[in-house]
Formats: sequence, structure tokens, C-alpha cells
Amino acid sequence: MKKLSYLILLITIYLIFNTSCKKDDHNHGDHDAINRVIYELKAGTETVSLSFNDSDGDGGAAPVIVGGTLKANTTYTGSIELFSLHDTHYDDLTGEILSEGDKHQFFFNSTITGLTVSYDDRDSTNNPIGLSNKLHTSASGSGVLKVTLKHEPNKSAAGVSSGDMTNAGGETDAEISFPITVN
Amino acid sequence: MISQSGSYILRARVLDAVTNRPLPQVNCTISEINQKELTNSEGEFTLNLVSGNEYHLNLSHQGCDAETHHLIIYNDTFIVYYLHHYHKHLREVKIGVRRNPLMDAVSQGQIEVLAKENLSNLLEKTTGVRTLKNGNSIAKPIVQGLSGNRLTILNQGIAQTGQQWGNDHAPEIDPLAGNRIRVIKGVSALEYKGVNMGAIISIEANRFKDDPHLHGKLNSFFETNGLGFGANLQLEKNHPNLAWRLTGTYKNSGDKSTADYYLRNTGNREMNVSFLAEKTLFKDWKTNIFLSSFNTELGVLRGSHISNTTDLNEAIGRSQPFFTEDAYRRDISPPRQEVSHHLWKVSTSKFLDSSIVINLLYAGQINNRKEFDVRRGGRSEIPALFIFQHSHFAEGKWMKSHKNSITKSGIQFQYTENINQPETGITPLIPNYSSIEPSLFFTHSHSYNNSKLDLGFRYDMQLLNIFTTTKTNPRQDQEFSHLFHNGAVSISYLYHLNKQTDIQFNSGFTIRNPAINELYSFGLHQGVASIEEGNSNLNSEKSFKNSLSVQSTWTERLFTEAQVYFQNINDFIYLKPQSQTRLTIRGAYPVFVYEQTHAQIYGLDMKAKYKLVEGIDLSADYSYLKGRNLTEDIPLIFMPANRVRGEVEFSASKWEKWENPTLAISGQYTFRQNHLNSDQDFIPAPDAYFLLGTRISIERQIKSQRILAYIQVENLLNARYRDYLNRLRYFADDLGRNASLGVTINY
Repeated sequence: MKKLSYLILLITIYLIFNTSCKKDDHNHGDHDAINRVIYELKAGTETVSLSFNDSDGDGGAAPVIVGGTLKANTTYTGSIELFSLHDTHYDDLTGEILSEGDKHQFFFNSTITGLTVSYDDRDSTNNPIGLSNKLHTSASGSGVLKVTLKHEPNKSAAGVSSGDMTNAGGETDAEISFPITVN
Repeated sequence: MISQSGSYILRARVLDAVTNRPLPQVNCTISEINQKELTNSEGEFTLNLVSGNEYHLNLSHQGCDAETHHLIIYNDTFIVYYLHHYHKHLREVKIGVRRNPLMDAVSQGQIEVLAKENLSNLLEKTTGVRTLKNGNSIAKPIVQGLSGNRLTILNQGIAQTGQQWGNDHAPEIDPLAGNRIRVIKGVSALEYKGVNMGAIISIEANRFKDDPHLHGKLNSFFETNGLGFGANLQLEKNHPNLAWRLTGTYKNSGDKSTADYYLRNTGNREMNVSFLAEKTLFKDWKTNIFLSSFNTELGVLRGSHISNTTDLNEAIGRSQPFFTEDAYRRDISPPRQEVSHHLWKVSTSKFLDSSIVINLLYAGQINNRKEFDVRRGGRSEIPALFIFQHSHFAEGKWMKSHKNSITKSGIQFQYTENINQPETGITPLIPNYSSIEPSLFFTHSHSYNNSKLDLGFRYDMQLLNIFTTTKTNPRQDQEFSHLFHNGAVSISYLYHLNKQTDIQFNSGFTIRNPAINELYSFGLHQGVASIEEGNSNLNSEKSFKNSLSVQSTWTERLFTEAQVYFQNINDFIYLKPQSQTRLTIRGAYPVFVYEQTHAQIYGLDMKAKYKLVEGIDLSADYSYLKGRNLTEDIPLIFMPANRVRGEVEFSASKWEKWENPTLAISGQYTFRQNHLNSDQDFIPAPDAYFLLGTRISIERQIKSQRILAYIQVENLLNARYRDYLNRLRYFADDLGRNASLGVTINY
């Protein structure tokens, strides 16, 4: 009986003084998080840059969204770049999206009359991705352009490859509403 | 009577353990001599046996769990056997040995024919117990409205540790490694570690059979829904030097289906092994060790993996979930969970004198939880959540029994360390922490002529150290620490009103400190499309629960039990939706913060059993529950909807060479959860539904083997339905028809 009580006492003492669990040493940025998105629109010599920035990820400080002013009746060549913040440097995620193009697709929805976006790239299954695109404006107005990146959408579902998100399914990796003015 | 040389007469009488009345028509088989007898109207049978030979006597009776007894006789012998009509009657007659009426149990026989089910789904057969689900294979029990952090689950007497806080974290216990599952309410729950807000679920093993030979049991099943199959093997030997029992379980199932379509990625795999051994050491220390390893892989419905509220709104209201496939598939892909739980326990006890027993115990647990999400860049095979937890528990217990009373007291100590593994590359939902918890308890039970009084108290201290980082850049390490004092007192009084009726009143006050997720969770809870934030300023919950139960045995044929309960919880911790949303890269999310309110839960559980004639048994039960958030004057969410069940069972003692043929037909009607405001959920609560089921079972003794075979069909009408407590109700229907076939061989 003595042996047993000593054993239990020893275990208890060991556990009280065992404080191996200390730092949370891996909490410095998510590999999956998208911290920065830049949507660059070019028409001739003019460049408009829409951006989203959230260096500390979900929570903490609120993200900063920068919109832009576009010309009426113009076609812009658009390209989207995405970055993840890792400690102090940004990793470019654009290549990752492109190489898994068949598993990703951007969708564009605008509240401005006549503003539409068409796809200018194809994945390995000949379906659109949307990293490269064409943005067309017509009449003046102001509103919001919502850009959505879906992971594993069903690209063969009705309307999806022409940019209708309704039947896409999948999971939203990014959803940003840029304030836009068309003059 | 003169016997032949070396041969003696065994005369045995079989009595009902509940009523002490003789049991006629019991099948009595001695496998060694292939002799079968039925007991007569006095419950008796007679056999000629050879002196000194070893025999195995099997007793089986309709409605009882069959029993095997080891026998050696050296003279003419008279033996009385008591058989338990386990799920027919719940009451024992003598005060003192009476089963606590506040307990309810799932018997070995029920576990055997429900071998395919997980622990929570098995427990749902008990009145007042329901399940919170994330698909069929991920299920958590709810007892009288409380689950998760507020419900303790004991595996062989040890409080299960692990990630109990998650709604989609099922308890990591193999019910087939135990022999019976009990729901313990009232004073006796105070002995156990863990927060007990009114009830404890306990998975227990039988004592070793008084039989020195190697015996075993093989239980195997197949089910049509999900093409699931599995087997459980138990081997046992009560050798005088060492008694041991080994069990192993394997289960494998693919995509389940609703009435109309397959639920993609809802398969599961499970592989468990456990070992129990008992030996007397140092002359009089009865020592046992228990080792168990539970390992599972669970698929989560692919179409339920969503990111934000836009995704959720798109997924809701579809006739079939996204990613539904036309063909059955067995494979499991992300989103999925891989969980293993290991338990080891050493316990030793000694009688100091004829009335005092002391017991020393150490138990350790490891819980390893990996959750895999659908991720970019080939990271789907890297867990998105990976938590390793180990805990250690030591206990010293002292028990003294007098003629009419039992006193128990003990001290306990638990240490837990919870570590997020860095390889996920994702900020963990809950931080790293360690916890030191010393506790002590005292319970006393006293039996009087026609009543019994139980009282007890318990004290737990918790020192919680948290290691996390700041939420803004630059990230810096942060440490927090909390000290909590939890107390519980409980009293219960049982009164034997008359021959027919017992009344029991139970009253308990409990303090529960906020759990780690309530204090410090931070982030996106995948699949719920909401941001969840802990609140480090929370106070402890204070619960006051009163219940009154009445058990009546009206006649030999009619038994009823009813329990009303009323629970008042001050500073009840719940997730409160915040008025503002939070903007993230995936759009704006609703934010939920843990806050406190004054809550009330009250309800009624009732059951009745009636033997119409010999061979026809009727049973029914009904559960009513209401939960209210009084501060805000709104209903509590995730409270079970009311339910009524009924069963009719036809049985006989013999049919040709088969024993105990039984046919049961059961119906279950679940009401709509109407106690819910429309702004409390994304969609209205699902409609009421009715499920019909049937079960046929037969038994047979073939030489030394006893065989039980059964066929059962659940959701016989292939009803299309959704259940309020299943999170998948947003995305998909619940399970369609499922026929299962099983065979148990005892040898």
C-alpha cells in the first residue's frame, strides 16, 4: 500500500511541476488566408487599382477596401492578384489559384447598370477562371462591384461557366465588394 | 431419490429477480450433454449430472438477457437462479437493494442488437436522452436539454476528456467495449470528476463471470443504408490467477442515403481495442487495469462545407445538396475527421475490515483530433485543426457500509494539457492551455424502513493557464490564468408510498466554470458560417435543479414511471448574435459572442410498459421539454423537440428448435420545435415526422454455442424528414430506410 501511495504522490508532484506547455509558437499567419487582393483594370494608358488589405486576418483591425472611378462606355482589361501574409512578407497565391484553375472560379456581380465582366482565361477543362477578365462599362452611375472567388464550384452546372453563381456550390474563398463610380 | 453411481441430481429453480416469482418456460440448456429443459410452472427443472464434471448451463427467457453459468456438482444440488427482466421492469422490490429510480439504462441485449450504432444513437433509446448531430455518424448525447460542456461521460468510471466543447465532436467511446450504459442523475453523480449539471452518462463493464474457461462472443452486422458492416469480438477468461477480457471492434460504412439520394462523403471507419484484467496483488489488493484505444475516421457531408452566409443561403432550400452524386461511394474525402482516444487505468481496492473499502486509482487519457477541410494548394491532406490533449487523473476513495447506510468520500486530482499542433498553418479556434484540478467529494446514503435518503457535496478547483497571441499585428504571445471554485450539493429522498408506488425527490445545486471555448475561442467555426468569440470575463454558471419522479407497479402487468424536472441556471453561457457583422476576405460574417443570461429548462419524461397477455408487451414513452432565456424573453436554441414513441412486442418461448422468437413493431413521432422565434435561426425548424420500425430476433443453442440472429428495419416507410437537432438539416434530408442484419455467437 505504501508503494502505491508513493507512486501516486510522485505522479501528482510530477504533473504539478510539469509545465511543458508554454508558447503558442505557430500563431503567426495562416497559409490559407488571403490577406491582400489587387484587381488591376487597364484601358489604354489608364490604370485603376482596386484593392483589399487585411494584414492581421479575420478579426483584429478591420480590412481596408479601396474602390475606384471608371470611365463610361469603356472596356478595361482586368487582372486579379492574391497574396497571403507570412510573418512579414507576402506570398503570391495567384499561381496556386491558376494551377488549380479547374477548382476555382471568380464571379462578378455589379449593382451599376451596364457594368459587366467577362472571362478572359480558361482552365484545363476549357472553363473560365476569371483571374484575367474584361470589364465593360456603359452608362454613368455608382454602386458596388462584388467579386467572389469560389473553391471547388461545379463549373458544369447550368449558367456557371457564363458567370452565374447560383448553381455553383463550393466554398467562398473571397468575397469583396468594391465601391465603384462610373463617370 | 437414489442416483446412479457418480451421477447426482441438479434441481434448479429460476425466479424473476424483480418480483421473486417463479419463471416458467425458461429454456435451460446444458451444452456438454446437449440436454434441453423448460422450467415448469414452479420455475423448476431437474437434470442428472455426473459428479465432478464441468458443465455450462444456459438460461434464456423471452425478454431477458440470456445467462450462462459454470457448474460443478459433487452431490445432489438445489440452486436458485435470478433472471433480470432488464428492459421490461425497472424496479426492484426490496428497499436497500432497489435500483435508483433516477437511473436509466441500456442493457447488454439492447447494445448487441444495436451494434452498428454509435454511443449517442444507442442512448437515444433511453427516455429523456436525445442527440445533437452533424450527420448520422457524428452525434452527441443531450440529457434533459443539456450536452457538451454540461454533460459528463464516464468510460469505465473515468470522466472522458477531449474536445467536448465542439458541437461536431462526438464522444470517442466504443459502446461495444462496455456491457451496459447508464444515465446517472442525482446524488451518486457527485462522486465523479467532471461538471455535472444534472446527469452523467456511464459506460460500464460487467463483472467477470464465475467461470474459469475461455469464453467469447462474436457480434457481426450488415446494414443496407451505407452498406455498412462491422464486427465485435469479446474474449474472456476468469482464470484464478488472472481474470482478463479482450474486446475488439471494427466498423466500416460508405455514403448513407436519404429517401431520395446519396449523402456524399458520409461514411465512417472505426477500429477499437480494449483490455481489462483483474488480479489480487499483495494478498488482498484487488487490482485491475483497463486499456482502451478508440480510432475513427468520419466523413462530413460534402455539401455542408460552406464558407459564408452567401454560401449558406445558396445551399439552403435546394432539393438536393451540392456535390450529390448518382452512385454510391465508400471512400471518405475532406471534409473529414480523424480522431483517436486512448485510455489507460489502474485501480486497486482493499477491504480494511468487513465494512470499509479503500480504492486508489490512476487513469491517463490521450485525445488526438484532426479535422481536414477542403483546402487550396494540395493542403486538404494537412489537418485544418489538429489538437493533441493528454490528461491524468488520480483518485483516492473511501467507502464504509453499515447495515442501513453507505458513506463514500474521496479526493481527486486531474491535470490536462491541450496543445494545438503547428502543422495546420491555420490560427487555432481555441488556444493552448493547461489545467490543474483538485477536487473532493462526500456522499452518504441511508435506508429507512420505507424510505431512503441520499445527500452529498463536491468541490472542484480549477487553475487554468492559457497561452495565446494577440489578435492584431505584430502578433505577440499572451498568457492568461484563471482560478475557479466549483461546488455542488445534492439531496435526494425516496419514499416507498405503498406496495405499488415509489416517489423520489431530487434537488441539486451546481456551479460550473466557463470552459475554454467559452472563454477564449476566436475565429470562424467552419460550417456554421459565423464568427465565434470567447469572453474572458464570464462568470461561472449556477444551476439549481429539482426533479420529482413517481414509479408505479400497478399490477404484475403494468408499470409506469414519470419524472418532472425544473432547472434554473443563472449566468447561463450561450452564444449571442451581435448586431454588427465583421468584414473579412470572405465577406461580412455574423458575429456571436459568449454572453450570460438567466435560463430555465423544464420538462417531463414519462414511460409505461404493459403486458397485454403472455407474449404481447406494449410500451410507450413521451418527452416534453421547454428551454427559456428569461433575460431576453426568448426560447433557448438547440433544445430537443417533444417526442412520443410506442412499441408492441410479440414473443414466444419456443418455435420449432428456436428459442425466444420475437417480433417488435415500433413507431416514433417527433413534434416540430415550435418554441423558437423566426429570427433565431437561418431557416424555420423542420416539420414533425413519424418513423416506423420493426425488429425480428431469434435465439438458438447449438452445442456449446448460443446464437442470436436479428433483422431490423428503421424508417420502414422511407420517410423524407429533417430533424431540428441535426445541423445537416440546412443542407439535406435525414436518413432513409435502413435494414440491418446481425448475428451474435456466444461460446
